[in-house]
Amino acid sequence: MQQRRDEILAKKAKLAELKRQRELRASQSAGRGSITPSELISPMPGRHTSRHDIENLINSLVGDSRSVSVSTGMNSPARRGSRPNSVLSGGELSNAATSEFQAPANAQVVTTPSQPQILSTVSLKTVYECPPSPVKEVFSYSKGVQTTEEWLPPTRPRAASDSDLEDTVTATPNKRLSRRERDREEELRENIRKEIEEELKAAKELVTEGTLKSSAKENFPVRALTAEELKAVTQSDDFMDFVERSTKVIEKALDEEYDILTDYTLQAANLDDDDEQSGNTGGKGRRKVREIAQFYDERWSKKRMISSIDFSPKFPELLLASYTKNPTAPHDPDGIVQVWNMHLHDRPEFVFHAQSDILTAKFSPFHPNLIIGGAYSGQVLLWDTRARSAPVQKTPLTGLGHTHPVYSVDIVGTQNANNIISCSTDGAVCGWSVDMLTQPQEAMTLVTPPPAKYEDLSPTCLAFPQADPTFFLVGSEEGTIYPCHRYDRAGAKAGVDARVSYKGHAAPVMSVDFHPSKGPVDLGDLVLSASLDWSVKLWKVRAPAATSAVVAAVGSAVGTESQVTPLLDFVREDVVYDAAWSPIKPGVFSLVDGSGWLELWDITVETEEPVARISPSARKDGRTMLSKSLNKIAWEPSEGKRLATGGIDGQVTVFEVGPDLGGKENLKNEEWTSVKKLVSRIEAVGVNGVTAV
Amino acid sequence: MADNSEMTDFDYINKNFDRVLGKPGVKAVLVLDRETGNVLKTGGNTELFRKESSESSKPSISNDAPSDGTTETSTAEREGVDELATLVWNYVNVTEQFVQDLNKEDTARLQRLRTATQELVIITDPKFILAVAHDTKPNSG
Repeated sequence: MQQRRDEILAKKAKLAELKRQRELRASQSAGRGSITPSELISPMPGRHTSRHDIENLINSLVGDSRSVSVSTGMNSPARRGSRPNSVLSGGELSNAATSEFQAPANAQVVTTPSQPQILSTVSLKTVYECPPSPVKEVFSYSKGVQTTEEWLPPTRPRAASDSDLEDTVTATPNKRLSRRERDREEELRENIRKEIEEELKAAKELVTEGTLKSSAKENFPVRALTAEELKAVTQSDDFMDFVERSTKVIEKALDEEYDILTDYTLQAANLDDDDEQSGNTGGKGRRKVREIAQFYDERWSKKRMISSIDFSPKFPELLLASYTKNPTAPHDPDGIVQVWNMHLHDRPEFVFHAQSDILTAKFSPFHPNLIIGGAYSGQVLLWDTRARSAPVQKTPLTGLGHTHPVYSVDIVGTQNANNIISCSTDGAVCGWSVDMLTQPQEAMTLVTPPPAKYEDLSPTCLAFPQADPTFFLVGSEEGTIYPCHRYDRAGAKAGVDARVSYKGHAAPVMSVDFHPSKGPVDLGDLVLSASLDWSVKLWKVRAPAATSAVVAAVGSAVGTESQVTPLLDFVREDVVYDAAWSPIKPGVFSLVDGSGWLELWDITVETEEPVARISPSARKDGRTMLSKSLNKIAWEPSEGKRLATGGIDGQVTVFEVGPDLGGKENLKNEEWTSVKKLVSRIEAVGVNGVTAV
Repeated sequence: MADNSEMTDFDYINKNFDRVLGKPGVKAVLVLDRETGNVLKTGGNTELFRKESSESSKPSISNDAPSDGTTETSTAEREGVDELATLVWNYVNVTEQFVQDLNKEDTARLQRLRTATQELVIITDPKFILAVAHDTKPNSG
C-alpha cells in the first residue's frame, strides 16, 4: 500500500517536472519564434501577437503531445508498477506466502484465478504442511475431511470474486478475510486437539479396563434419556404392549411348576409330597377332588359376578369367564369376558369388553380365536382373541334381533356351516351367521303351547343335542322344559313342539344339559336340568323324529300334550344354579348350588348322595356374607379331569378330579351299559321309585 | 387395597411389574430400550441381580455377594443399574447376532439362562428388552 502510494507520489512529481520542462522549452521556442518574425515584421504587433498566439497554441498542442509520448518512455518503470497485473501478482504473492502456512482453503484461493476447476482435491493435500499438533496425523486428517465441507462453501465465492475483479482493491479484503480465517482455524484446531486428547484418554482407558468394558463403552449407553423422554417412552403404546406381553410370558415362565433341571439324585429338600394332604380337597381316594387354581383379577374381577364359564375346545389350558357389571366402577365397561390360562395364575390372558353385562359367553367350537357372548342389552357379541378388547362384531341394539336379555347362546352346525343361536327372555330365538351380525339369518318367537294361561314363554337356557342342530330344549322361568324345532318338519312346526313338554321343576330352570355320549351306548337322550326349586332332574328326551310316533302311542290323539316326568330327581339343600355332565365319564355329572358347594355325582354308583363335594377356598380379602354362591360349572372337554366354577364373588376356581371321576385312562364300557341299565330299570319300574344299584 | 377401579392404564402397567416382582423367588426386573440400551424401568433388588449375575461365572465366590448391596448410595446404585443394563444389553446383542448367524430371518425372543444360583429370563422385542432374575428351586441341579 505504502509502496504504491510512494510510486504514485513519485509519478506525480515526475509529471510536474515534465510540465515545468515543457513550459521552459515552449517559452524558449516562443521567444525564438517571436524574435525572428517580430524582428522582421515589427510594424504589425496586433497581427504578430495573434500569430504568436496561434503558434503558441500549436506549439503547446504539438509540444504537449510530444512530451507525453516522451514521458511515457521515460516513466515506463513507474507505469508498469501501477499496472494492475503486476500489483495483483505482488499482493497474491504475499497472500500466498501467508495462506500457505495457514490452511488448504487459502492455498485454493491462490490457485483459483488461474485454474478454477481442478482446485479442491489438490489443495487438500497441503494440510500436512502445517501439522496442528504433535498428535497422530490420522486423527487430524479425519477431522479435516469432516470439516472441509464446512469450510468450502465460504471459500468458493471468495475465490470467484478474486478471479472476477483482477484488481488491486481485492488485495485488502482478501488479507482481512485470511486473518479472520486464521483465527477461526486456530479455534478449530484447538477443538480438534482437545477432542483427540479425549479420544486418546478414552482409548487408554479402554486398554486398561479390558475387552468387555471396551465393548460396553463403545456402544453404551448411546445417550442418556431425559426424564421427559423416559416418560414419553414408558407411556407409549408400544411400551404398554410390550409390558403387557412380556410380563405375561415371564409370569408363565415363573408359574411353571416343573423344574426341568430337577436333579433327583440330590436330597429332596422340599415338602412336595405333603401337598396331597394340604390344600383344598374333597372326596376320597380315587374320587378325590382337589382345588388346583383360582383366578381373580383385582382390576377386572372386582365386585362382579360370574355369569358363565367355558373351557376352550382347542386349548385345554384356556377357559373363559363372563362377568356382570361392577356397580362401583361406572367408567369401566359393564360387561367383560376374561380368558384365563392355567399357566398364568395371577392375571387373565385376555380381557374383552362390552357395554352391557355379559350373561353368557362361549368359545366357538369351530374357530379357536372366536368367542361369542350374549348381553343384558339383547346384543349378541363376537370377540376375536387376535383383536383388541372390543367386540369385533355385535348385533344392533334396535330393530332386528333381541331386545331382551340374552341368557343363552350356542354355536351349532359343522365346521363349514355353523350358526350362532341365541335366545332372549322374551322368547325370541335368532340364528346368526358368524360373519354377519347385522341381522339374524333366522328368527322366531317361542310361545307357550295352547293349554296355558299366558302365551308368553321366557326361556332362561337352551341346549342342543350332540346329533341334531335343528332341535333344542329350552328351560323356562315357569319351570317347564320345552322341546323346540328350528324349522318346520313332519308333524311339527318351527317353534315349540306343542305335543311334548317336560314338567317337573317348580321354579325357573337354570340349566339344561344333554349327555355328551361319546361311548359304545348312545346316551344322547339323557338330559340334566338344574332349577331354583332345589333340585336337579334327569330326563329322557324323546327323539324329535320319533316324537309323533311316541305321542301317537302314548297319547290318544296328536295334539294332546303329553307330559313327561323326570327319570330321577336329585333333591338338594339349596337352589341349584347349574349342572353339567362329565364329557368323558358317562355316569358322572357335577352341580353347583347357592350355598357354594360343588358336588360330583356318579349315577352308576349312587343316586341319592354325591360321591364328592367341595367348596372353593375363599379369597383372603373377599366378603364373607353372601359371597359363596356358585353360579356356573364347566368341564374341560378333552380330558374331563378339570372343572371350573365361579359365582357371586367373581372368582374362578379350577378343580381336578380323581381318576374315578374324570380322565380317559380307566374308562370302561361297562359304565355306559350300567347307565343304560339304570335308565331302563327306572323306566320299567316307575318314576323315582327306584334306588340305584 | 383401596378402590382399584379408578386405576389408569399406566397404573395397571406398574401393577404388572409389581405382580412379577411379587412372584416367589423373583429378585429383580429390568426394562431396557432395545436400540439404545437405556434403562426404562427397574424393580426389585437390581444390586443383587448384578452382583450375582456378574459373579455367576465364578461360582466359588458367589456366597459373599448379597451382603454388601445395602449400604451403597443412590448414585452408586444407579451406576450399578447402568452397568447391569450394559451387561444385559450386550448379552442380548451377542445372542441376537448368534441367532442371525444361524438364520438371517430369525430373531431371538425368549432367553432363559440358568446359572448355578439363579435364572435369568430375558424377553426381547424389536423395541424393548425385559429381564427378570429369580431364584431357582432348591433341588435343581
